[in-house]
Amino acid sequence: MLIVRFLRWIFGYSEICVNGRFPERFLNLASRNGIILWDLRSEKENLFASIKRKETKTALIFAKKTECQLIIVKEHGLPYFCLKYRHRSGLLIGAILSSALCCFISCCIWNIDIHAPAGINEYEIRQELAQLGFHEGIIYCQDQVRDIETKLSMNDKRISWVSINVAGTNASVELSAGIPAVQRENNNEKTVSNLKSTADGTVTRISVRKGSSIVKTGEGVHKGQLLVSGIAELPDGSSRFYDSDGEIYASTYRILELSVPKNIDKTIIDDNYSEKLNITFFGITIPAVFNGSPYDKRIIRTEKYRSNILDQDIPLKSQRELFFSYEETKYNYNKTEAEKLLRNRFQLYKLFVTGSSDTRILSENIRLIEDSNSYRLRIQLTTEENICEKSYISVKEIS
Amino acid sequence: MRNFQKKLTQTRQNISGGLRCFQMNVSDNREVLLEGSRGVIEYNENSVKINTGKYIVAFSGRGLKLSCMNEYNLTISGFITSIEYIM
Repeated sequence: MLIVRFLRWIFGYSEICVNGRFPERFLNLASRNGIILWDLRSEKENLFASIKRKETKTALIFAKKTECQLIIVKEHGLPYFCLKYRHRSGLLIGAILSSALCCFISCCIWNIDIHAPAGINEYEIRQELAQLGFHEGIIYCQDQVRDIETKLSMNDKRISWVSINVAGTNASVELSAGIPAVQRENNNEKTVSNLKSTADGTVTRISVRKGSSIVKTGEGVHKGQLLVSGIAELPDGSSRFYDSDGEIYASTYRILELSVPKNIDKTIIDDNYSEKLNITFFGITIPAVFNGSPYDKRIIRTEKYRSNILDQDIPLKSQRELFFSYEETKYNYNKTEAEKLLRNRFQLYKLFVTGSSDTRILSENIRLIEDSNSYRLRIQLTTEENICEKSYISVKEIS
Repeated sequence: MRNFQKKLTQTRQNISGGLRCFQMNVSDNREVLLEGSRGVIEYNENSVKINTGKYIVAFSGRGLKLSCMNEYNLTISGFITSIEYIM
């Protein structure tokens, strides 16, 4: 029904009023001659109806024939609208220009969303894309976009795969991080490795999956000593090669020193800030508001806002920059503060050491030392940790 | 060309008139779709009389409107209180 109404509006229609002795005769004559009438209603002795613009003249003839009076009450539709404003050429030019502008801006890309994986900075990718000519405001060209995809994945070694999907005026850049290239082994060479010690200590536990263990539990080892050999001698005198694998735990002793200077330069950020608001409209950035005066020493915090209508991004963005002033002052740590800070750092160290590997702290001896310039926390640590480190050896098999 | 068009229209009319019998599709008492009508005999907001060729169908009610009308079909809408066949 909506389509019918729209088509009627496009081609134009008139509301007519028929009065006379027998308006029914007019209806019959008109309908028999292919004139379609709709919205017929009878009010007092008048008959109101709607009729196509083109058929109005014919209807007038039939009204005369049937001795009825036909009055055009109202005219609707595009042809009448154009007729009404035919002398105002400015409107027509404006309509054409705005249509052309709409067509043009619909061909451009106004929003670029970058979905970068961890380890790849979105800002850097945006810069790289801009250097390749892909920025907000460019005219979309499929071939150019495919070319940019290829160039970006070739230029940036961190990226293995790029896809730029354009939907309307929004572009979505999907990235996939590259896997570091692994050096391929020569087919003729076998991977043979030994396990060596990374620290001095006493062996507490041994778990070897491949290779032959050289050390025993309770033995003392030094840094760099061979623990597991990748070459095993067979009873017939021949040798067999292994890519050694396993864990050898040893109790190790180490001294750790953490220090903090007595005097430091501290940066104190003020509560005062000045604010700058930029509005980006169709890729053009216009400074809108600047509150306060700029500071000599300032820290900038940027907040970006996007605007959307019905979950669709529109090319209108705002960027708020906050300029905070700061002061650099000298600060002296006292002994209690320094100890607290160093102990916190040590706790953090412990968390990283014990959290990231299967290292266990057996004992710790902590002492705070004060010298002329700094406070030092001297920690004697006894730990149980895996001291194995792979050491590859080159063995070439001659057939 | 004109003769051909005339003949075509005449044939179409003959076929439509001959094959199409009068059909009436009543939706509640609010709307009636009529197919195969031969013309409107009387129309005002309280009464509509349609010629079907063999008989006249009279509709009575309030605020009766002819929503759409062409050569053989028409739609009556409004509050219909009675439908009468006049032979």
